[in-house]
Amino acid sequence: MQQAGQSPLLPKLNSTPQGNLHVASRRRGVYLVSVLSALALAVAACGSGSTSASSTTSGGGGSGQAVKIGVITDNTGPIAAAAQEFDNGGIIAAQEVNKDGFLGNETMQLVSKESGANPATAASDASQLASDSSITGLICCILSPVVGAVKPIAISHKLPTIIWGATDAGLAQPPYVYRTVTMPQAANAALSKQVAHQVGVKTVAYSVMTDNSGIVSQANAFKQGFDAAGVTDLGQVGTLSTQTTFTSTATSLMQKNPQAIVVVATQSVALGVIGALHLAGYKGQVVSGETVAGSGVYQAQPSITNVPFPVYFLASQPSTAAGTQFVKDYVKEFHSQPDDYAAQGFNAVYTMAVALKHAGNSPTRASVGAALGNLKSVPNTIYGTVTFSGGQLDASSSVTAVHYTAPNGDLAPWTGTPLK
Amino acid sequence: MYFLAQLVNGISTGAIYALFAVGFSIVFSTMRILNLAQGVYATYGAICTYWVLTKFNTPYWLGCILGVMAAGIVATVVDQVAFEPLRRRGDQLLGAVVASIGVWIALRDVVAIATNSTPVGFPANSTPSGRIVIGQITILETQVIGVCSAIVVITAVYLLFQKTQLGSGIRAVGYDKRSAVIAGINPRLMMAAAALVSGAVTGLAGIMLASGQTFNFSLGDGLLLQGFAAVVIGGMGDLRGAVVGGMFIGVVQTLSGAYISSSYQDAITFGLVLIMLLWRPRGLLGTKAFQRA
Repeated sequence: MQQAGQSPLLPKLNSTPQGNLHVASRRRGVYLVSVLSALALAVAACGSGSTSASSTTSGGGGSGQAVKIGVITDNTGPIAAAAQEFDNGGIIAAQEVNKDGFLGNETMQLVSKESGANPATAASDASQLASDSSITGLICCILSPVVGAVKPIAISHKLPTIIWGATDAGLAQPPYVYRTVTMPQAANAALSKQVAHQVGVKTVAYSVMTDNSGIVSQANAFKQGFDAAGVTDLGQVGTLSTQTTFTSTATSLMQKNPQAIVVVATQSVALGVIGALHLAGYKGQVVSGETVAGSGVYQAQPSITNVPFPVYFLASQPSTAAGTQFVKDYVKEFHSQPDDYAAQGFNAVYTMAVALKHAGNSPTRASVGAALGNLKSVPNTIYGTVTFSGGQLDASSSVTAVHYTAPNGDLAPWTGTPLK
Repeated sequence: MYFLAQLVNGISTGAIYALFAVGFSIVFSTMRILNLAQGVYATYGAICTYWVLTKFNTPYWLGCILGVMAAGIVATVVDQVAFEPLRRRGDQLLGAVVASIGVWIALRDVVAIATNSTPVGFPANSTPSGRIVIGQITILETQVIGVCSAIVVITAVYLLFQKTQLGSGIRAVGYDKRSAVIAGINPRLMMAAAALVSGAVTGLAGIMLASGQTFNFSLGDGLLLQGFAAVVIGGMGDLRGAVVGGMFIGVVQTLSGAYISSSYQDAITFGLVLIMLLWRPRGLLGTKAFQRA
């Protein structure tokens, strides 16, 4: 007799030995899927770590209301290493702001959401944060495409936003979107003049990753600097973000016989070209951009010693009292020296705190936006006094040329040796 | 001289692509799976070699062997966990592609987490770093090792598939699984053996690519694209075609980068793939019955 609810069209899988085998196989499949799902969740949990939506600020301070600032982190994904430095720097800034009672009776609370540097995820995060009326401001984004996804949402919700890492041109858009990124273009131009002066190069060639507009813009800044110093441009060899080997690039660059080669690319590609030049026996001066900064770089590519690159903040030699305090607090919290990315994270959160302070008691999105718009200069930052123009921070007076030093890869100020 | 120097670069790059394409081709010819996780095996080969070299300070050759073995084991485990259940259900085309994408992302993320997404490199004192100068042409030791490894390994794989009982068994299963079973061949064992060989060869490609340069968790992604292009150009499922396609891609990519622009080298490579698909869909050496491994 047919059981209630059972379709007459359904085969009775359990009625034969073969059916039992199917069921057993299916159970094994379900079991396997369950185990794999649990593993995947565990891996995802490990990956997201402390980056799930959470408040992070601590350190005492005022007993009044907490002002919530949304933060979109990129602590997983392709730029996780650098992104964690941004995040750590921001956490230290919030701790200092609260500990020092910078906002009077109010405290600053960071509400973080992880995007994995994925524009779609970042847009979703931004929508959630923007829809939360208790969120007064937003800090985000290291990659320009991610900014492109988040910016329209921030503007449509009139949510004051600070970009802390993306370097493509034209991303700042007052009165809602501001950028505290210490722009590499100004630093690159300064470094190229320094190299031309100290090393005495007369000719230069460029290795430029051409499928990234931000990188191309950074390369152009190097070119302007060397051109201004009277150095002859022997031409450019392009690389791609998808490139797998760099021996051919090194051969093409050395064929031009330049006294200096400037390598401008994302970190892995830049290290690939620098390594290939070293293996091919290039003896001239190699120069690179800020992308080669980061933990583990020296260990991965020891030949990067004596390759200068610009930074705005050098933990071993902070130029201000605020910088010294930042390094002290960072080392205490994370047991390592902050790098340039951590400094940028710190400065973004600190700038937001300055805007909150200027916005007065019980700041709103409108008052914080207005306060950001009115910022023309901010004294006593970790970079010294910084200025704002068109929503963009300028800290070019604090640029320092550094290089990795053997045997541990510590960063030290770079002073070029004149060519023989 | 510049042309010859770049030709040498192209051949050495092509040798690595050929190795990868051979691994890719083994899977395609025996399992009829477009395994998009194949690039991850290259990453695992390289990352395991890196780990062994840095943690245990082993000689380079031993690190390479252990890395190759690790990649082979990963490929076999993936095959048995992700693809074997699909084969049992006869769901090999779309299901396998989707499964391979899942495996690709999951295994890739494991490496990203393990390395904190930072670039790594084999220890400088453990890898060959010498140069051979012939006239105005400089050849790196890593290039010589890469080309020699490719020649030896590809020849060995060819002989394995053509001259041994195991190779005949794998080919038989790839050609007609049911007939192979009737002939007393264990198809699951043959598939696992094919996965092991494929993963090991792919892992070697990753190790050769990583030697002398930095790499990160996405090492295999670039190889996957080039390897796929090589297989399409050379002929799906034909080892000789994979070798020809890999060398062709390596040389064309290098010379187009040197004489036209590196910015267009991917466009040129995949433009050639498109032309090949239109002109000869089965590739240069592909046949109508492309199961020949």
